[in-house]
This record gives sequence, C-alpha cells and structure tokens, in this order.
Amino acid sequence: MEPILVVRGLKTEFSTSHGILRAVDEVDLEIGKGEVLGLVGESGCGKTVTALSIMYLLQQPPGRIAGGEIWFRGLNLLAGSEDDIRVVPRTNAPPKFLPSDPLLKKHRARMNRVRGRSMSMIFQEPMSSLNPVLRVGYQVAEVLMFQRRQEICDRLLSRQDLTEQDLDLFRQAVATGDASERERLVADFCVRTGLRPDKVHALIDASGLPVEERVARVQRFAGRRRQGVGWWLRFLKRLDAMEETHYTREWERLSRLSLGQPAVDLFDPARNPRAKGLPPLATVSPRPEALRLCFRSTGGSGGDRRKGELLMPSEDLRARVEVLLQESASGPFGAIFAIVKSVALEKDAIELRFREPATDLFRTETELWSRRLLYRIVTSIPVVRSVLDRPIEEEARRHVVELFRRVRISEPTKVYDAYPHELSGGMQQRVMIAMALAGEPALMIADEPTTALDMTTQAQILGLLKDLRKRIDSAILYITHDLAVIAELSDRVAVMYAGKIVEDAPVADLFANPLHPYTQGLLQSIVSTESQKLEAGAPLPTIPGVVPDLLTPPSGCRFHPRCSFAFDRCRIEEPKLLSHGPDRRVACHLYPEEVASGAT
Amino acid sequence: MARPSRDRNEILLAARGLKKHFPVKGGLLQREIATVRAVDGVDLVIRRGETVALVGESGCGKTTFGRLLLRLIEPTEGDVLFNVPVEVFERLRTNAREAVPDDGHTKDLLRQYSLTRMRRRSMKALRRFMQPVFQDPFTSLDPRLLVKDIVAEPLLVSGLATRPEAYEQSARLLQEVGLRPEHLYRFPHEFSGGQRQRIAIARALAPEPEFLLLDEPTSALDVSVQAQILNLLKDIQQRQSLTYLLITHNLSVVRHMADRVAVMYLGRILERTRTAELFANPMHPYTKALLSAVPLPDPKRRRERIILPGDVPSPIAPPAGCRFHTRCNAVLPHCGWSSRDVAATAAYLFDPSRNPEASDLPPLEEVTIRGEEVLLLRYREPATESHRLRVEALVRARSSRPDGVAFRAIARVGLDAGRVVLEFLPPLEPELLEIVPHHFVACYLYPGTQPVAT
Repeated sequence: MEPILVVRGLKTEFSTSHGILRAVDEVDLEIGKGEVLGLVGESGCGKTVTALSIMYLLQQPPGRIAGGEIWFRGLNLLAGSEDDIRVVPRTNAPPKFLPSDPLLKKHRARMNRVRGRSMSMIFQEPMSSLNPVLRVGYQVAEVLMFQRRQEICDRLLSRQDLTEQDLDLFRQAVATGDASERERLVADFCVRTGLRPDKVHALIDASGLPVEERVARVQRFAGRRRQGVGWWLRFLKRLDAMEETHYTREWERLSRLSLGQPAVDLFDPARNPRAKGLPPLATVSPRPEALRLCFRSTGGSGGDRRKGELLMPSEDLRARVEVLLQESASGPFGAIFAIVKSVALEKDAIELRFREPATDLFRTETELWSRRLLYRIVTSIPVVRSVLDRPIEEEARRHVVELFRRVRISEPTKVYDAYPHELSGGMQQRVMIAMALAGEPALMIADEPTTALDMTTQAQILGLLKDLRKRIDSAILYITHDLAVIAELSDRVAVMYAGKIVEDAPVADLFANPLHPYTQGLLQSIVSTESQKLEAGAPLPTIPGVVPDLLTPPSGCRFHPRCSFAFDRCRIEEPKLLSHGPDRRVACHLYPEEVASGAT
Repeated sequence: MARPSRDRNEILLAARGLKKHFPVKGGLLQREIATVRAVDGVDLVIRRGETVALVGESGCGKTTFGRLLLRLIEPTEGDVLFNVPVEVFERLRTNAREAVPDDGHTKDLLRQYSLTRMRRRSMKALRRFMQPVFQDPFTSLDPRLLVKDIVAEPLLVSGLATRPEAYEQSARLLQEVGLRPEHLYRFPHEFSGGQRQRIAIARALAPEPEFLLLDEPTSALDVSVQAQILNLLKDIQQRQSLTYLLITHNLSVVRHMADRVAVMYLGRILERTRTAELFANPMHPYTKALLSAVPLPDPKRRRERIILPGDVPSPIAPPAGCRFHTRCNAVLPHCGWSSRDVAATAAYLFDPSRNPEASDLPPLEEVTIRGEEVLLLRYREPATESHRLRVEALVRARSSRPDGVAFRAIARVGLDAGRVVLEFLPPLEPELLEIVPHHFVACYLYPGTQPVAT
C-alpha cells in the first residue's frame, strides 16, 4: 500500500523548569492510503503530542520538534521550519525562537494550506474545541470558505437554470405524503439547485395552488436569485489555484534538500535488504536540482580502486539504482522519489535529477503577488467585502448542511444556527467530524473522539467513521487508550509507551498474538462484557505501576519497572523497534533480532 | 470506634417513589416556566453487602438519583429509607401500592427510617455511614489541601477522631488503597488520575462507612488503571463488607462488579434484575441496545449493532407513554404515539392536492393538534360521513406499512362539527413488572403488560 504519511525519527520536546521533557522520542509511523492506524497507549504516553506534531499545532515554546521528518504525500512538512527559525545567541543559553521570523511565517502559511485541506483533526473534547460564541454551522463553513474556495467558486459559476430533472424532483416533493420523504426530496432539490430549503418549503406549502402553478413559481424564484459576481469568483479561483501551486512548489524545493535520510534508507545495503547487491553508500548530497549518490568501492572484482575509496560508478550500477527506484514506488517513499525525473551517470557519482517546474517561475510569481495585492485592496473595504463574500457564504452554508446530513445530524438546518452549548456531546462531536471532513482530507487524525461520550453515542460515532471511511477513502490515525475500540475500527495498531512505539502490527495479529508485554497487559486489562474468567469474581489482571515521568525516563527499556519479564539486559540496553515476522515490529529484548543479524 | 447501637438490618437503603424535579426559570420575573423531571418516580432497594449498578446514558438522571440517596439534594417527592427491617419495608410498600390512607403509624415509621424526613442534625450523624466517590478525580479533590488533610477531613468533621488520631488513621487508609504513607504530605496535582481516585476512595473510607456511592468511578481513567481501581474496590468491599451503588454507563464494568443492575432512562427504571440474568437475557429493547453498543475487543468478531437514533429526549417534556418509544426499534401501537407524532404526515396524507390517493376529499384547510390524543382535520367544506370513511381507509392503508406504526395508534376516526377527528389510544406508561422471577421490565413487548383496551 502506498503510504501517504511517513513519520521518521520524530522527536518532540518541551522545555520545562525542571529540564527538557522529551514527550515523543524517535517515533516511526507509516499510514497507507485509506488505512486506519490505531495509536494506543495510556495517558501520558505521547499520543496526542505525536498528533499535534504531525499537524504542527504544538504550542511553541515550550514545545519544539527537535528532530525527525514528517513526509506527507511526498512533501517534508518540517522542511523549512526548524533549523531556519533557530537563532543561537552568543552565550551558551538554549536556542531562542523568533516567531516573527519571515521563514517561520512562510512555513506557517504553507502549513495553513495543508491543515484542514489535506489533513484534519478531530479533537478530544468537542465542547472546548468549538468556539462558544459562534454558531456551529458558521464554524464549519469557515473551513470551506478558507480551504475549498475553488470548489465553491466552481459550483457558483457552473450554476444553470433549473433543468427538467430538478423540476421533476420538485414535483415529487409536492406530491409525496410522507414528511420525511418530502424532507429528503427537498434537500436533494436544494443541493442540486442551490436554493434555500426554507424558501422551497414555503413554496411547497403554498396551499390551494395546483402543482404546476407551484412549479412555475419555483422557476421564477430560481431566476431571481443572485448568481454572484462572476469576475470576482473567477479571480478568487485563479488566486487560490496559483497559491496552491506556489506553496506546493516551494515545499517541494525544500523537501528535496531533506531527501538525504530517505535516500540512505533506500540505497544503503546495510539498511535496505533489497539494496543488497549495491556497493556500500559513501555520501548522499541533496541539492535543489539533483541528489548525488557516491558509493564506496568494495575492492576486488574488477574495480580499479582499493577497498574504501570512492567507486567509479558504472552503467550497470546506474541501471540497478534505477530499478531500485522503480521498485520503491510502492514503498514508503514512493511518493517522495516520484519527483525524480532521470537517473544520470556522473564522473564519480550517480545523480537523481529532479523534475523542473513546468511553468515559468518568474511570471507566475509576479502574477501571484499582483493578484494578492489586488485581493488585499478590494477586501480591505468592509462593505465591498461583505457584498462580494455573500454568495460564497451562502454556497458554503449549503455545503455545510449537506455535510451535516452526511454525519447524520437530523435537522441540519436547525443545527447550523445552534451554538455549541445547545448541542449534546454526541452532536458536538458530529459537528467536529463534519468540520474535519469539510476539506475532504487525505488524512484525518482522531484524538480520542469518543472518550468523553456514552457507550451508545460511541457506537454511533464509530459506525459513522466506518461508514465515512468506505465513502471518502481517507486515511485515519485513531488515537485512543481503549483497545476494544481499536479492534472495531482499525487495520493496523501502533502501541506507544513513554514516548516510544513499542509494537506495530496488523490488528488481527496483535489481538491474536500480542508480543510486547505492555501490549499484553493492555489487552488483559480490558474489562469486557464477554470475558469468561470474570465469572468467578477473580481480580482483573492489571499492569502494575504507572507511566514513568518523562523528565527522568527509566534506563534501558522504559517499560522494565512495570514488566514481569524484565531481566538484566532490559535495565541497561534500550531495545530497538525491529521487525518480527511479516509486517510486524516490536521493541523488546524477549524477541530475537531477525533483521539486524542479516544486515551485518 | 463505636458502631451505632442500632441493628444492622437487611435493607440498607431503599428509594420509595423518589422524584426530583428541577425548576426551569425564565421570563421577566424569573418565574418557573417548566420543570426538568430528572428523577421521576424511582423505587430501588439496596441490600446490605451487595453491589447494585445503575446504568444509563448521560442525562438520564443517574447522578441525580445518587445525590438524592445521600440527601445531597432534597427530593421533590418520595423517601429514602435507611437501615429498614424487611417487615417494615414490606408494610410501607404494600401501603403505598394499595393507596392505604396515611395513618399515624405509617407516618411514624417513615419519620423513623426516612432520611428525607429527618432533621438536618440527625441526618448529619448518619452521613458518616454513606460516602460518595465522584467521577472526576481531577475536580473532586481540593487542590489546596495536602492529602493528609483531604483524607482526615471527614473524620474531623464528624468528630470521630482528634487531629493526631485522624492523621494516623489516614496513613493507614492510604496503605489500604495502595498508596504509601509518604504520599500524605503531597498535593493532589502531584498524582496521576488513578492515584487521585485512590485518594478519593481513602477519603470515602475514612469514617468507616457502610455504603459507598460510586458515581462513574473509572470513566475518567485509562483502561489499564480502570482495572486497578475496580480490583481495589472489590477487595475493600470484601474486607469491610461494604455496600455499593455503582453508577455507570459502561456495562462491562457492571458485569465485573455488580450483583444486581437497574437500567435507567429519562428518570425512570426500565429494567431491573440480577447481573448474570441481564447479560444472558436482556429483555428491554433499550438494554439490548446498550449491550450491543459495548465494543468487542476482538477484531475477528462483529456484533450485530443496534444503533439508537438521535439523543436522549429532553427531560423537560419526556415522551408520553413509554419514554423510550421515540428511539425504540420494536414499537407497538400503544407505546405512546400521540397526535404530535403524526401531525406533519397527516398534513400531506389527507390533502388531495398533495396525495393523489386522497383526491376525492375536499381541499384540506387546517390540521389542529388538541392535546396528546386528538387531531382535528378541517376541510374547505364541512366533512361528511363519506369523507370520514375515506380518511379511515387512508389511515388503515397507512398503518399497514412498516413506517406507519404511529397510525396504528389511532383508535377511532370520528366527526365533530364538520371536522374529521382522529382519536388516539391514551398514552400509558408501562409499569415495571416481574416478567420472569426476579426480572422486572417496563415494556409492552412482554405478555401481561399490555394496557387494557378501552
């Protein structure tokens, strides 16, 4: 499966008055397209911090992403964020952040284009995540107006007069006797035509009129409605599209410079078993236009250089690198290496040449800036702005009502105008889900979306997520402490403990045969309505102790103070996350190191 | 410490027709405009040494009921009996059921055993026997007190110990709940959620109570910590022969902890039985839905889900008839359908301009709801017997459809002053009846519970 999100060696720290607290420590994650990955662990294990790091929503300072890469659909989200913004003063004081730094501002602007549009988050407590002074519908519409302006403009521009099909729908709505059926027909009609449901209902309810008279009225009404200002919509659309290409290109350029680590992972025979035939990798130098790979000679066979020196690459080696690159298209970095145009043979290296941007950089740049300036000037006049934005707002409203219907909110038009406190917990959570869905993201991060809810509401929300997953095919990172929920929803599970991933496995394998003692403990401590052993009234199995303080994590394996299998090695040496069987990884000294032995 | 000299009777706590209505105030003069019927007539007996679980969704009145039991809030109606001999309880119950006029003797008995009729001072003496453990250990501990003061406070307040004695006692209590004596000199914020809940339990245990009210004791905790706390609670119960009322929405916890379960919905108990019986044979559709909502920790098995549509209705105006009928998947005509439920559909069904099947009726002018039981249809011309028959036929056709359950509740189609009158079955709430021995259900699905046809 082609992964859309690859997290490599992510480290997130918080500087506290007691020292540096590393909440996330060398976390590796991969989420495939349309896959649901469950992230499990007790509270204080760093699950939420991982999610916030991916979204780049950490409060900084005190938070800081201290290292690692987050590759999302071929772009390194952290490129241009960390090293550039750190200013080292003359003294030995810790690095300072300058939030107004133009580079950081740029990174923020780029991140704003990704959040909501390509990845979104459902937060744990809907009550505290929704703005209490704004109507919930508007809060969802805001996402659309900001992130999906192109689509909204498209829909407004392509709107035609009512077709015969639309009118048939209206006739059916008039004729039907069933209130709920009529509600549905009117909703369909409104979605197709962009009319307001209350107006349509008023037309239908005009009692005493024959059906055809009502149809004529709705036609007249549709003719009168505002089309929006065409030139403005086309202007906005173009501006949006240009910004998108601009930001993507900028990001692509920055990402190329951080391709080093993925290249090492792919072409180093010591790391990638598929690259076995290649000579050892000497240096990898990423540049804006190409990635240079230098190999070390192994001596012996045919090489004119001694062992350890730089190898003169041959055509055969170039071909092998190309094959490896093609093979990797389905691997974790397939999307990332997709920007490589050709593999070229140089004097002492092999160069992976990147694609050039298709358009004329200078011309588009100037056009973008002039358009932006015009946008600023026009929208700085409040009256003009409100007039120009009205059709967009109305269209967004229609879209939100549709979204509300999709997350099974009954009476969506009524809920649109409600304030958060007027809704129950389940409803609020649905609004949050609608908000996360609004941008039709490729990745949704759900941070304990059902923990604060009743079992029955949880069942509703889980059903909803399962259903949506089938329909929109977006990947979900589902964070929870409850493994029972994971069993229900996810394809793969990553178990996190004290800032580290300790086990990573397909869901069926994990439940059938949990490897890490922590996973075993978590599974045993589930109180189920079905467990047989509970009948005797025996005490429930538990994990003794608590999650350690991350300011002073235990030596060696972080789980060893709570582990019943711990032996001397666990106290000294930290276990690595190594693969164990197909598609499974575990970080525990109890299991033999399969891959490490093969690599040396 | 001296136990009170009174006998240890079998029934430790009993609620008898307990009601709590909260006023909703509004308008210019802050007058009462509505009442929230949080708890609306609940009977529940808790015997000495057992664990009774009270289950339901949020907003169904579980927590209010718990507070009423401890008399943390005053009930609108009904009694909480404490430490009653069985004979006395039986006598009070039969008196209430057969509506025996209150003679002086009953009143005396109530005054003797009912917490709600007791003076505040005598109530205070009894408080030490009933202690609560609340849901959220992050808000139920005073952040400015040391743990030793938190745990010792109930002892000092009820005058059971002097200060040095109380601190000594709290060190012992901390050990009992799995903490160490050095934790005495720390503040609550220095502890994790599970440890805080242990402190809350230690505080509840301090005055050597007989009854603990556990209000969602583990729902704010991680799954792994939840198991620890449940083990602790079970352990303490066995050691000190305590009685628990466990309030929760999590049925898996119930299965592990409780001897008997009562399922609550909108201020009423819908089902009440022994735990094993409830899980083996859930009878009320609401209980079945609750059970099916519990996720199975096994990716290979999928449970047939009964998803309840919508939310719990507002307790300000609970649905007529069976309170659950609006979300139930097994509704019968007499579950409580009223004129309100069909009014919207009726406006289309009986209008010739919208429904071709009704074309022989004159144009519909108005649909009026008169109370729960009557719906009036006014046509442009006075309705005649033939119109009545046509409406009746439409009702019959509609009620045979699967989504036409509400129309089955129409008892009669009549004529009144030129208007067509649809009369509904009177909405009656099903009583909590013993369907199988020791298994009480309030649902019309079971034989012997149907209301008498009128």
